[in-house]
Amino acid sequence: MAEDCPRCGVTDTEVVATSPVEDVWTLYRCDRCEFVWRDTEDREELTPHFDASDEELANADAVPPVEYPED
Amino acid sequence: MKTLDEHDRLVRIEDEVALEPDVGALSRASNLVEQGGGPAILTEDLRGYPTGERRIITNVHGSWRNINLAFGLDPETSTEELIFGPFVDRRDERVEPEYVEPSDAPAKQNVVTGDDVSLTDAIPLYRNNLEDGGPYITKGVVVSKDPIEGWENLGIYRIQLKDDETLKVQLFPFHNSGRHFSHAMEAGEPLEVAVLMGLDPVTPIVASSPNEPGTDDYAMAGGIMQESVPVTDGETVDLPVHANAEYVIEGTIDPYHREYEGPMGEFTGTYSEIKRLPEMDVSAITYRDDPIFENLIPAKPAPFGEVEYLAGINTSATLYSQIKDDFPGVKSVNATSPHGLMAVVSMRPGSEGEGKTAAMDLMSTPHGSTYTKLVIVVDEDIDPFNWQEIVWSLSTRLHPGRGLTHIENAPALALDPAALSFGRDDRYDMDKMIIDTTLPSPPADDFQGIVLDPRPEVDEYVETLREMIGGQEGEN
Ligand SMILES: [Zn+2]
Repeated sequence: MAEDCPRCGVTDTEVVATSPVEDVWTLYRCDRCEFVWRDTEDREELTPHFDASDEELANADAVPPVEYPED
Repeated sequence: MKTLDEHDRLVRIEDEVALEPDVGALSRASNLVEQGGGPAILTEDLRGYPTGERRIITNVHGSWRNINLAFGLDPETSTEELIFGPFVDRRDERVEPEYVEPSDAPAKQNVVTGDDVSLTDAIPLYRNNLEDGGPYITKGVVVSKDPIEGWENLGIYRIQLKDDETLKVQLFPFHNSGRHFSHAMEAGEPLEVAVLMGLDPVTPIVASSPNEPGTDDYAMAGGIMQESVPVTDGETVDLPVHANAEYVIEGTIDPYHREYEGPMGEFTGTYSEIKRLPEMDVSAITYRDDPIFENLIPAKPAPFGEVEYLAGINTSATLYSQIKDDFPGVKSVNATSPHGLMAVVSMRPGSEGEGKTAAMDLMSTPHGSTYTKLVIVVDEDIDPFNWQEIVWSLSTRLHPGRGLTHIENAPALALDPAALSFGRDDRYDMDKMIIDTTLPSPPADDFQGIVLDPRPEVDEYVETLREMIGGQEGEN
């Protein structure tokens, strides 16, 4: 029972974990933008300013920058 | 925790709370509830976990009072005394860690490895803020070893949950663990790390401050505490881990792989943007029976948050020690304002202009070059930990033409919101500034520069008056 990503809206999401006490919460992760949230949070309130747009993700810096060794 | 409890510096929340929004909200509220930082908060019943089996404590280092108590000092001990007592005076003392057999280490009461690893089963991870990219470990002490030079380091870096076996770790190349990671990239080898949580009060303070590369941080913490830190072997990594930790997470970081991380509400009071960070594959989690997950919330301080208290102490002591060698007239350094982005130096300049050169020296230290963008220099009679006295010095002793120095195009801390250039090409650009308020040494016949010292009898009369008005101390 996947949930859409509350940040970027894609439907490709995964269950990270379920609560040790059964049926209390499920923790999800978005495959595209890596947002992690719990299904007990208010989706409407979540992440009002960031939407992980294509541009935002394309501009995300690698820290530290990836440098493969010579040879 | 016992000491905090005895001094009413611990609030136990026995009612059931939700991981979101309650734990993050309580954590932030504990910063705001009292001027000067509130009590530690222990949540004992977390929704989704069997009652009492998992608990969270925040704000342990959340006030000078809490930290003074951790040192067995009077809770009202001044910040300067705290810093100059244990941290400056014992800075060069080393007490070697004491090895404990794994079977005797409380941190190994529960050991989970391989396919059994589940971060969320072991640790009640939660999201602090609405925009955070996920649950964060914000007070985890990362242990790593330089793959080329062999020295070990402890550092606190933000760590985001990716899935039940994977974390993402922020390793800036200018931090000590970041140096280790750069060397791992050069060597093309994964970097082994262990993340320690729930420790003695001093190890996180040492870990969160800018010690020189090569410093033995366990031995430094031992020197400050005058007591060995107990360490034991990692379960799956070749690293010494704190034997009394509530939790130890072990794993390896691939040198080349990066994944989207963030944003996270930072100590600058703003969110950092989405970045791509290295991932840590978790190979083992060990923890005490009835473990307590210790964490913090970085935020705009009020006036200080836990980050400022935690990092400020040893950052001040480190910067002081580094510039004192070059400028013996330096009396004190206050770098408690967030992470030393600003520092206040009190000194007796040995010659004209030395206030400015001492400030430049501070901005050339490893920490100062990246973090510190503003240094205020005050005369030695001004208390650099007292903001009213600093404002007094700015008001009465600053000559803008002589005292202001603007340095262009210096290194920037990417988390500093003022360093963002918002769409322009020159990202993370930062200038620096020195405000030198030290008075020029007056010629003998120039009465205007003579500091007005109170009559010798004044101190005695202050005491007398204090007794007469009922022993109340003045508000500062
Ligand atoms: Zn998404």
